[in-house]
Amino acid sequence: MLRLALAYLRERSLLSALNVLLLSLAVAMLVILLNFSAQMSDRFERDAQGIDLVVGAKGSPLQLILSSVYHVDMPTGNIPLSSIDLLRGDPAVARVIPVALGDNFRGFRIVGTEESYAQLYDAELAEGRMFTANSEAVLGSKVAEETGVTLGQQFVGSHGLVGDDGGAHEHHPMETVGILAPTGTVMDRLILVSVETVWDVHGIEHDHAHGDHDHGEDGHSHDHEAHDHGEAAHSHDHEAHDHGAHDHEAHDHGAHDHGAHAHGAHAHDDAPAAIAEPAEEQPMRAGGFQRPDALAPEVTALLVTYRSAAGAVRLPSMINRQTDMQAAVPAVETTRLLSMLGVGIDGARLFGWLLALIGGLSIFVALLNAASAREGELALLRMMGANKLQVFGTIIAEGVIIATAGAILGLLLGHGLLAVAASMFRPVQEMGLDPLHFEPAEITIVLLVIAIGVVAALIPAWRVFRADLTRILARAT
Amino acid sequence: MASPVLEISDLRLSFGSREIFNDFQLSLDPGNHTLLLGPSGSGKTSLINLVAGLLSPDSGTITVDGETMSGLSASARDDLRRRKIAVIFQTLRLISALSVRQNLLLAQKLSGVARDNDKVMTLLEAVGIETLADQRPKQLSQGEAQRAAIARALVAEPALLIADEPTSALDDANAGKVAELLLKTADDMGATLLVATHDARLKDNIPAAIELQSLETAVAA
Repeated sequence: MLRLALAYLRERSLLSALNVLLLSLAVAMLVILLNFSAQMSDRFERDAQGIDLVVGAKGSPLQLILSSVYHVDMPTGNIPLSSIDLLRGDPAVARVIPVALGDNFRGFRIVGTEESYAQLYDAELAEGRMFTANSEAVLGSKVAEETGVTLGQQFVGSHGLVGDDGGAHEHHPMETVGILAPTGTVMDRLILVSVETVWDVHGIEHDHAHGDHDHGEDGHSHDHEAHDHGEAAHSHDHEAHDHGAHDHEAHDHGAHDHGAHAHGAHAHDDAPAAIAEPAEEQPMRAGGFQRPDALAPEVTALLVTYRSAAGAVRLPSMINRQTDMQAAVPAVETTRLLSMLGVGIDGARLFGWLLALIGGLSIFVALLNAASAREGELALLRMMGANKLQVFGTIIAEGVIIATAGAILGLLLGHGLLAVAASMFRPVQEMGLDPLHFEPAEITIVLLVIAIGVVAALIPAWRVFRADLTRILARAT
Repeated sequence: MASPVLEISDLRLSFGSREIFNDFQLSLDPGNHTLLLGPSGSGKTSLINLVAGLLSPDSGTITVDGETMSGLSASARDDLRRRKIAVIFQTLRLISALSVRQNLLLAQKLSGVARDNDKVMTLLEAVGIETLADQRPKQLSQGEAQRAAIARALVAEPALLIADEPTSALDDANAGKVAELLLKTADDMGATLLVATHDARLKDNIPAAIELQSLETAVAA
C-alpha cells in the first residue's frame, strides 16, 4: 500500500512537491532558529566559563562583555594598566587576565593577553609553544585552518577588529610560534600575543613591569624587582623590535606607517585608548597621540575570576562606584541579551510553526480533494480485496510521506542555509555556529511535523473508512 | 456432482417499504456462465452487492464456493470476497496511478496470491494487451481498459467472476470481443461467470440468462 500511496503522490506530483516544499520551509526555519538559539546559548556559556566579572571602560556593560569575552563587538574603550594591580591586590580575586584589543589578521582578532587566557579555556597547544617574547603569536585552531598560516610563518596584522580596512602594520610582522588545538570556544578564532606586542605594534611606550603579571594566577607573588627591566631593558626590547624611535616625545607615526590608519579621522586609534577601538561615543582623549600622557600603556578589559563569593558581592559595586571603570557580569549580560533575542526568536519560531500548520492544512485540503476524486478507485481497491484499514492506511501514508519528505528536506535545507550563512556572514562565523551540529530537539521538530501530516490525513482517511461502499460504487459505476 | 460456486436461498431484501428480493433463489455450478438481465432498477446491482458481501440481506443465505456469507462479520465478508470473488465494473476498471502491470500485481497481492509477473504477462497476452503492460489506464482506449480490467479480475484466480455491465460503454464490435474474451478467460481460469447487464447483445454470447423483471422474483430463462 506504500507503493500505491507513492504512486498517488507521483500522480499529482506538482501539488505533492508544493506541500513538501511548504513543510520543508517551515522545518528549515525551525531548525535554523533552534540551532541559532541553542548554539548561541551554549557558546555564550562556554566562552564565559571561568569569567566571573569583566572590568573595562565605562559604557554599555553588554558591549563590554560582547567585545571582551565573545569578541563580537567594539570595545567600550581602555582602562589604565594600574587597574590590573588594583584587582590583583584584592583578596577576593583569584585571577585577573588582561585583554588588549586593536588589531586583526584577516578578520581574526589579535588579543594581547597572558598565557592564563588560553588556560581559561583549557586550550592546549597542537603545535609549537606559547608566546614568550614580543611579536610572537599563538593561533587559535580556526585561525590556522582558515588562514593557512603555519608554525614559523610571519604575518602582519591590520588595524581595527574587523578586516584590513584599518591598514596593515607592515613594520611589525608577528611570528607564529604556536597553534592551539580546537577548543570549541572563542579561543579557536583568536590570535594570542603578549600585551606588550599590542603596545609595540601601536607605538605605545611601556616598561616591562607588566611582565611580572604574566606568569601567575594570582599575580601577587611576582618579584617586581626581578622583572622590572626599567628603561634599559625597555630600550633593548624596542631595539629588538625596531621600536627604537618609540620615544614619547618623538613618537613618529610616520615611521610606523600609521598614516594608513587615517589618524586624522581616528586620532584615538593610535592613542592607547585606541588599542581597542572605542565605541563611537567614547570621548577622544585630549590631544590624542600627540600628548605623551595619552600614550600610557592601557588594556581593553580585565577578565576576573573570584576567589570567593564575597567578591561577587563587593567588587562590581566597588568598581562601578569608586573608579572610572565599569564592571559587568557575563552571566547577567548574556542572560539579558538572550532574553532580548528570545523575544525575536520566539516570534520567528511561532511563525515557523504557523508555516508548518499551513503546510498541514495544505496537505489536508489536497488529501480531502484527492480522496473525494478517487473514491471510486478506493472502492475498487476494496473490491480487489483491500480491507478498510488498508484503504485508510493508504491515505494516512500519503500524509506521512509528504510530511516526512518535508521534514527531511527541511532538515537538509536548514543546515544547508546555516552552512551558507556561516561561510558568507562574518557575524555568524564569529559566533562559531556549526552548521553540521545536530540538536536533539530537531528530532522533536521532525516528529511533530510528521504528526501534522498524520493529523492532516486523518479526516480524509476517516471519511473513506466510513464511506458506504455500495453508494460509492453506485455513483462510480 | 460438484457443489455450486454460488448458491442463493430464500433471499429477501427491502429498502424501507420497497421490496427488492422476495425469496430469491439462484444456483450457479462451477464453470457456469450466466447472464443476469434486467432494466435499470431491477436489482442487478443490489444482487451483486449482496453476493460481494457489501450488503447484508434481510434474510436468506448466500454461499460462495462452499462458504456461507450470511452471518459473517464485515471483515470476514471482506476476506471471503478477497479470496473467492472478483468484480468487473462498467467504468471503474483500474487504479489510475498504477500501470496496467502494477494493477495486476496489486490485485494479486490484495487477494493473497503470490506476486507473479510472468503470470501477469501471460494474462495480459491472453487478453491481447501485453504490449500495453506499462501504460497508465488513461493511456488506454475503452476496449483496452476493459480488457485490462478482465485481466485484473482474473489474476486473483477467483472462483466467481462477476461482471457488472461490462459492455455497456462499448460499441458492438468491442462489446462482442469483450464478451468472448470474458467467456474464454473465465473458461481458461475455471471461473464461474455471472454477468449482470441490460445489454441484450450479450445474449448471443451467453445463452443462459436470469431475468430480473419486477424487482421481485427472478425467472430463469
